[in-house]
Amino acid sequence: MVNVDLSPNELKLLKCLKEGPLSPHEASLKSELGEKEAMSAASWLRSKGLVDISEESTVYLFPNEEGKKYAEQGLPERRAVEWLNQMGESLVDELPLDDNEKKVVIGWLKRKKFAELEKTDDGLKLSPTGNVDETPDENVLVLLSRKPMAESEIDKEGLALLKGRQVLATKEEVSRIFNLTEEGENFDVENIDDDLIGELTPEMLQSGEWKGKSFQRYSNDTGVEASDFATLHPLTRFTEDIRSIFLQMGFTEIEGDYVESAFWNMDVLFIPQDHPARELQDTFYLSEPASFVINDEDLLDQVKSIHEDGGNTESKGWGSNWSKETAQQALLRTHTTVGTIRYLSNNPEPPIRVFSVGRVFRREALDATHLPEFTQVEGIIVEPEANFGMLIGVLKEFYRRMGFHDVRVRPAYFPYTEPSLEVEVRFGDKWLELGGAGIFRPEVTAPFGIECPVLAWGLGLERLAMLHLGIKDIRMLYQSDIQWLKETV
Amino acid sequence: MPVINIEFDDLNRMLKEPLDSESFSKIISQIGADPDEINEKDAIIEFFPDRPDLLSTEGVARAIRAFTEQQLGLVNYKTNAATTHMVVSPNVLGVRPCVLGGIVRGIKLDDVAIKCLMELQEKLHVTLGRKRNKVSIGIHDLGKLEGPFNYTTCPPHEPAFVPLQKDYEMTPEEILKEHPKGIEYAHLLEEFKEYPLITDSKDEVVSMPPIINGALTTITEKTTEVLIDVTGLDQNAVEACLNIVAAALVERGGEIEQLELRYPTEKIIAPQMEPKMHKIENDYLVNLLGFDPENFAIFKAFRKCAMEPDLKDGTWHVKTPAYRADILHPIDLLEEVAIGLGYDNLPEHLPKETRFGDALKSRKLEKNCRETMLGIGFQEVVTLTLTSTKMLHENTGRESNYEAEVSNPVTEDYHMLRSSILPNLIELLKNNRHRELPQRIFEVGQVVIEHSNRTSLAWIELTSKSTFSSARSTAEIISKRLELNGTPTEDDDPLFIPGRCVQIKTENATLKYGEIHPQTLEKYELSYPAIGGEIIW
Repeated sequence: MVNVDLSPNELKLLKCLKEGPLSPHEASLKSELGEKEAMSAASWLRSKGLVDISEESTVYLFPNEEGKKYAEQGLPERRAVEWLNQMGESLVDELPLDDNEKKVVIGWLKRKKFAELEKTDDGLKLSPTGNVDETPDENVLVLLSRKPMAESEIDKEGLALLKGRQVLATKEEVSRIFNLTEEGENFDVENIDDDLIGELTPEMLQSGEWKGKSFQRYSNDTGVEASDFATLHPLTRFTEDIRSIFLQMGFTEIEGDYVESAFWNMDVLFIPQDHPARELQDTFYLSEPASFVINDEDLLDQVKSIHEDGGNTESKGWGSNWSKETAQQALLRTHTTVGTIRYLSNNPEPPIRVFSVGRVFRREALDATHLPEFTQVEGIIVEPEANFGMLIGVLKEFYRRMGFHDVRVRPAYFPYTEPSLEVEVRFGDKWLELGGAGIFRPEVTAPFGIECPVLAWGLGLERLAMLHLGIKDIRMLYQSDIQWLKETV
Repeated sequence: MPVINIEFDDLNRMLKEPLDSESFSKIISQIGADPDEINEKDAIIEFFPDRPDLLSTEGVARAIRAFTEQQLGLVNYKTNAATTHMVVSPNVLGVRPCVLGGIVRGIKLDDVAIKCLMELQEKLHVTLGRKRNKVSIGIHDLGKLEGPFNYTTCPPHEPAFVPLQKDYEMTPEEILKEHPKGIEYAHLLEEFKEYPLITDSKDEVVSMPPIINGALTTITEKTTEVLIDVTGLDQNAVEACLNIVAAALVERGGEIEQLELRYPTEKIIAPQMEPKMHKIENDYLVNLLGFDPENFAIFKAFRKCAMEPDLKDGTWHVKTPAYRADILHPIDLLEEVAIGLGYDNLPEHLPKETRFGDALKSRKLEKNCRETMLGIGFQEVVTLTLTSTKMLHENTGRESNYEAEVSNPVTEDYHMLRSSILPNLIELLKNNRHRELPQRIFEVGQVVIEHSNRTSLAWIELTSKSTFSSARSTAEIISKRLELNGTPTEDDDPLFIPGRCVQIKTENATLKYGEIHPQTLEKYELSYPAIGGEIIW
């Protein structure tokens, strides 16, 4: 015999079925289970191969609204013939019937031989034949009005007559019969312990009643109601993953303010004052505060001369006039590199390994692929041995730790790094751009006395998040559906 | 970034060994470009803004010839001596002071080549030209003109001439008001009473820089010789554009002839196509690269970037082409070597020394906040820092407090940095009204107060039965977990119902919580009571 675990209900039902097939109703009476519980137990027994549930669908007939009325009041021809027998004879128009009934009644009176018809000047005149015998359709209609019946149970002649008039409706019912399978027949119910513990109660625990008994085994594939729960936002999870990679690689975290001056955000990074990214359409400038006074005259002078003619670096500079007013404009930082250069200005001594993860702002309208603010991740290494090969090596290590094992680099351009590169990672069967990197230009590092190479790289967190979450609309991250947030993994 | 179209048939005419789309795709990103789309017959390529010399099929062909070793090293440009000149009038120096020009003869243009030329001109206008302000370029059919030429100014009402895209005469003023290009660029001349004008010896209008050319000199497939005029505000940028256009026309079979520019106080001969000299020390190069590829590999790498190097006493003396305007510093030569060697071939390595990193204190605080809030069943959300005075003040009744405000917002919804996160959470609940109650959300993020970033934790709870006592109980757990010890006092923040708002001030943080005022709930169409709070450190 197969070793099958049965719940108490299943065992009860199985025992009843040993005496023969049962409908759910019969099974519930016999087993003292509710009809639903019996059905559920039968389903489980079926899944365990012990019971078959045969299903048969039966069409039941019952009177519709008009049929119900006729069942109560009598069919129109019955009411007509009773009237005729009282009145002797009558014009059709005088019959106590409604207009629709009058239209059909003549045919039925003739067919059932209840009346004879005569054309007169006043209209059609009816006279009784004396025949008032009950016809089978009347009988069937009354029976059906008491209880819907399957077609096979109904008198055929009466049904045929009723079907000719629209007085019946149908409904389909599936009836089930539980049968034991061969395996079920062979199942030895008598040797089964039917005293299994279902719900474990405090009383059982306190009394020790559970000892020596077995526990009913519960299924793990039935649906259960969802529990409410709270999760971290996916951007937090990605931020934490990336922060942890940086910390593992020996980087220290830095941060900076969103409100900045063009001087620190652009000028010290050697972004020319007429660079397109500085235009009103790309950068958010501020009216409150409108500008910052930059007091470091020495730094101002150095930056000015580096922009204009390279100053004391070997650079040619941008060759155009540099304006202090332009540099003092207040703006929302467009990259975290402003925080980096501020940090380096205060900490110019190598070795340095720092990183930041923070919001930056670009003048974009909000749509499925653009945000006016997004999260930038940035890493910096400053040390005497730093060089381009180390930058590529560190980048590949960094991306590998993020789960990207295929990484390649290609030339790129950023105004404050040289050489510059773009990082591509293989995601599925595609190569995707996922970040940029380079070595800070000497024009950037010179004013701060930084003599070692400054390796820098950065990437956008949202792009990474969208990639991993498989979403196309970036707004889902910042204008979230709370349920969606809970379901993201 | 500027994008250009390349047709392979056209490109291959300028190569010694033609490329198919697949090998093109490989090579082009090694040179330094983002291939947007590569098809069988053509490609759409994004180039980096430091390489305006690549903004044409001609320039790309030239770069590919060098990079694929079809023609290593510098292209030598033969320039014929000037046969005519352009007189620069003193009047124009106050309007658009820089002008250079040149002549190219013997070019062969077809439909595709003309399209490329127009595209190059447009892309240069946008990039180096800063939308025609810094530089604008005209290319004219020289056959229709007779030198010498004049660069001068004209009054708004004359001369009338037929501009490009029109078939009737217009005065300069009419062009600025009615011609599409005039309307687009009129702002560049708005402060001037007279406008720049280039004419030939018969007073035919060649161009009205930086707005439009005369229709007379339109380039056609029959054009074999052209006059290039480049005007602008910055002599370096003007020169770079002239050299790029002249070099591109050489790719179309042309031969450059110089033009003499007679400025009031000096004479300039243009274009100057001789290479420029830059230097980089070999040690500097090798150390920064991270390995020593040996002299010959470096030598070849320069030549693959169309440069001519010479190593003398440990220093590379590198002749760079006249069309390259992006070499500012020796470091720029290093990138050329890296490109010439191939980024894929550069040996990589990791730092040898171990260092110790540390997280920010504020991050540790944020982590505490998140653990606390998740622990009491609040879902984390993240919202934007940019918001509006409507959200911050009008909808809450709070007064403005010198929040950082954007002067050039894209929309009214995002013109101010938030000084509080709670309004964002209320808005988020509005957008989640279709979801089941209860809803409990929180955000840890940055707010900006007095123009400086501060860390904030805000939470809100929307249930059918929110009570002030549950607001207190939540706030008490939070302040205990985050070790905020202070005396609760009643506060009158209008975001909350009067008499149901508590404030706790500690040395470094302020906590506020209470029952949200129905006035605010109404603004966000929330019809269930809400309790919430915010801590700003």
